[in-house]
Amino acid sequence: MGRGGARAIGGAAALAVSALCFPAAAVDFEVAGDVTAQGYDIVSPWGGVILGRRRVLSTLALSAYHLQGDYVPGEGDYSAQLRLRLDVDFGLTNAEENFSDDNLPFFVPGLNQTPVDLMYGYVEGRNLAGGWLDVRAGRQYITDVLGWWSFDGARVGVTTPFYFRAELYGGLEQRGGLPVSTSRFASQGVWRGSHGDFEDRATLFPSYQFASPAPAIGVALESDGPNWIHGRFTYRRVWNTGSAFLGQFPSPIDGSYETFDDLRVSSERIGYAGSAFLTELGSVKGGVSYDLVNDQINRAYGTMEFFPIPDKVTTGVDVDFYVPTFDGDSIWNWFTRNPVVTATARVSALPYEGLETSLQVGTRLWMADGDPADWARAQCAASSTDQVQLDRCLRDGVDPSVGGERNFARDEANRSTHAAPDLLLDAATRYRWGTGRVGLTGHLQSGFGSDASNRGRRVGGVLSARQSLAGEVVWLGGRVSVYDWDDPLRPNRHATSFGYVLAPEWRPWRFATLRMEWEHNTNRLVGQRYRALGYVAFEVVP
Amino acid sequence: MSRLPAAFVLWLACGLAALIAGLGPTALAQTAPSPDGTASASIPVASASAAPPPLHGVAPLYGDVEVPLGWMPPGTQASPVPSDEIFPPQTISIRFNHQLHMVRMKMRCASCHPGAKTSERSADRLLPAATKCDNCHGTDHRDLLAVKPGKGDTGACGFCHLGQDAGTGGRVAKLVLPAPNLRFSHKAHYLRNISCGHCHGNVEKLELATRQQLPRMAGCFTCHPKSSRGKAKGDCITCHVTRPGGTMKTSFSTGQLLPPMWLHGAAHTPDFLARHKVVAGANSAMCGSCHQDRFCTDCHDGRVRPRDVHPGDYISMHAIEAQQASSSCTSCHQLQSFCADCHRRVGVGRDSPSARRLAGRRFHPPPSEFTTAPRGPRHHAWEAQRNLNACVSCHVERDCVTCHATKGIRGGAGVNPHPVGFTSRCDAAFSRNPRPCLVCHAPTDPVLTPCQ
Repeated sequence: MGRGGARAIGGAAALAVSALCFPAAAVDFEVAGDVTAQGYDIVSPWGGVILGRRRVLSTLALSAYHLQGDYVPGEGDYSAQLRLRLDVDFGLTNAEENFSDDNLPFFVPGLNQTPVDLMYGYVEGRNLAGGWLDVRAGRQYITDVLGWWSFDGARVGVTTPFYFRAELYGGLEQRGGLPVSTSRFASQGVWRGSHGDFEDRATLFPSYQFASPAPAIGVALESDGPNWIHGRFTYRRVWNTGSAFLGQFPSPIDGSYETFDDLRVSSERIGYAGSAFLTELGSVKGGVSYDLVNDQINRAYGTMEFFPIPDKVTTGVDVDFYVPTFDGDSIWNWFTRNPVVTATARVSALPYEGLETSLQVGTRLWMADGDPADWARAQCAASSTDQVQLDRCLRDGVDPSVGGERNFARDEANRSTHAAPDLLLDAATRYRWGTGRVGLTGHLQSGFGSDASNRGRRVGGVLSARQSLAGEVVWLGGRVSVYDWDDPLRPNRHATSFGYVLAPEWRPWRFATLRMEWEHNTNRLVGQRYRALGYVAFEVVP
Repeated sequence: MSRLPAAFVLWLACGLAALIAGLGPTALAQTAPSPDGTASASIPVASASAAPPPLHGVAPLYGDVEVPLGWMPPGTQASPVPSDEIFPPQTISIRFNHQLHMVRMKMRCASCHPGAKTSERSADRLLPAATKCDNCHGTDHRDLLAVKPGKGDTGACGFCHLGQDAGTGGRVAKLVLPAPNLRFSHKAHYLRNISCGHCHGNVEKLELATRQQLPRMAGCFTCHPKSSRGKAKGDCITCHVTRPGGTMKTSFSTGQLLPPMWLHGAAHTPDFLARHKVVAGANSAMCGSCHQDRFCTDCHDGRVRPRDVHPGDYISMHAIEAQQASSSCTSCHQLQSFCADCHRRVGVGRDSPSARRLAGRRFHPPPSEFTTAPRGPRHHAWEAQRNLNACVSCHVERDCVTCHATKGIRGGAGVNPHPVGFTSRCDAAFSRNPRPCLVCHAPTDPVLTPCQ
């Protein structure tokens, strides 16, 4: 679908919801919108301007509540919500966006193919059937331990008097390349989108897959009982349909590209997250998500908090376990990869009214199979008779003494997990008063040791402030940031950055905001960088 | 110049003298009520150096000593102070001794607050009318423009009304008691035989009842679990005022209403941005009590860089952050489109259009270290094992299968990327989706047999 079609759908949807807003006098509605214009240049680390971005983003949100007429507490209530987005980059060139043989040296498939998208749009009924039933139909979000996800379809929730509610939903996952949709909610690891006017030349980009509807179903059971404890069990399955290229190179026999067309699983996950608290003691939270395609836990986390001084001081410990997983179509699911484990301890305090501070210290462990510093060296040295064999062994990872039959990448001796730790330190403090606030944040993440395990360092902080003048009609905001980073893998990319932002804001009416931002950053890699941003927003809530 | 300090000191001394002259005599002449609040004694204060005894009825307990926790409303231990946003600050310009009236004089709550039995709105004014005091104090408040004091000290305006010259010219300090930003029916609770003390604590043991005696949310939850049914379900909007769509109103003239830490750890502390995932993942409906969809989408599906997440000059430093915290990137960004699209445009990606490639420039270390061999400490295999997301943010399948596909029809170099033990679980993967297997292996490849 071209831009014209997308705009037509967007306009029709806006009209439909607008129409819904006004038939009954008792209907409450909200209208909110914003326009953001930005101009900035992307400068390569070698100093040249490589992209000029001139972006205009506009969103329009419409909400209509109590569509049934008068709202009566405890009885069924209907509403409709919609948000449309227009995102255009005038810095894009025709050659980048539109396929032709002449444009091929510049053409990027799938770039900016959805300037208009429907972020969400649904009709909802709550508290139906005596409070037993909730229904929602349209483009909507699901937020739980499986992530933040969007689909077009219907969701039915049944709230029982037995301390739990059940939820069943089904529809089509929001996929990039489909009308008024973005790729934001699809599983990672597949480059996918509309092929538009180059479908017959699709083999030029065999890694770029076709966008097809992706059926999805899900179910959730959620506690609905005491306030002090809550849990949600959830399961979701999404299928891929349509064609996908298999081999990434033309067949040596006939030069063709094979495709795979069967229905197949895109993602299938099961998860649980829960939390409990005691108001005077602390709280505990945890979650786990199991990827059935990969047959492994892809994410787990837990956190415990204590309130040594209620309402004043909170201490806590957090653990996060993460393994990258990808769409079922992606080859990267089957690459060797290891968990990233993060453990932190934190404290936050409210020393006195308005002043808040927090400090977090911890470590992040990056795992690899075997120690990069001496991987296979002992085996190669033992099995090689001369330097030539040793070099070959190290190069190929195979034992030359047995003709390459023994692959050290498969050797259990090289499977002992090696962890490269990063030190994490985050500190933040802010002070808020009636007409303004000031905040200071600091961040440090740093690896240790040799090149083999040291994954770099980033340290810096931001000082920000905001103050209203003239009775909250005019606001002045500003930021100053200083960051320094270093990457042993790319030592020439080390830099220290200094930047500031000036952001005056004007609220001529309660429902309108106008803001300008001027950002200036400087570092040795790119020299001077500037960014100008203008923002206009309104929100009407009668 | 030498005369300037002397002049300044002189002005300062004169100012202080004037201040003392202006304030001192009037303050010393004011009649001080008796310490126990019952006698009619008018105690002239002898001198400024002798501190007067504390007044009764101007603090919850005499001498403003701390009120025992057991006398406070339930939930006080979790929330020592009532919320300013729910119960805006008050100015109590009278003194009153609840203990005296309720214990010694055997009065009941309803004696002075009869309206509580029928009140269905939190904004209802439930303080007794001033005429209620007239019976005992001998005053006459029927016409508030011409209030007549009673006889004796207990009938004097200044006996109850605080402030300098209270009652002079018929004027007293204003009592400021803003309406709570809350939905609450005293009547509903009264009809269920829920006593006043159940929510307000042991007021009969206190002298002045202040904001401290107002209920705490943690206390409400003791009787209103979410599982309760009917109109008193323990949902946020049962008590909190809402916007038209049913989400809570959170912005008030007294501040921003934010969740307390004890409520599933949802306090919006400075580090909440980093840990909100855990709260939302466990109970997103709770987040939805205050936030509409568009609040979340502005960041998670946003197109304007949120500065609290990505600081200044982020474009320059995003590569090192992707290396250090790639799991966070995927919270909002699709690696193969959002990240890789831009990398293709700027020529960083290996599959960038030919005219975009940066001649002579390379993001990674030299091929001799990073790509080919020997597999040294800087080889890409280690980085891929640790942080595959970073690879996927630039590279497409073809980049990897160039080496990692099997030799022959798939065109690779046969370098096996699978983890040890992979064959024991590849059947589950193959049955769900054989496509990735067939990208690198020909359908007839015998190594696929265990997976099929």
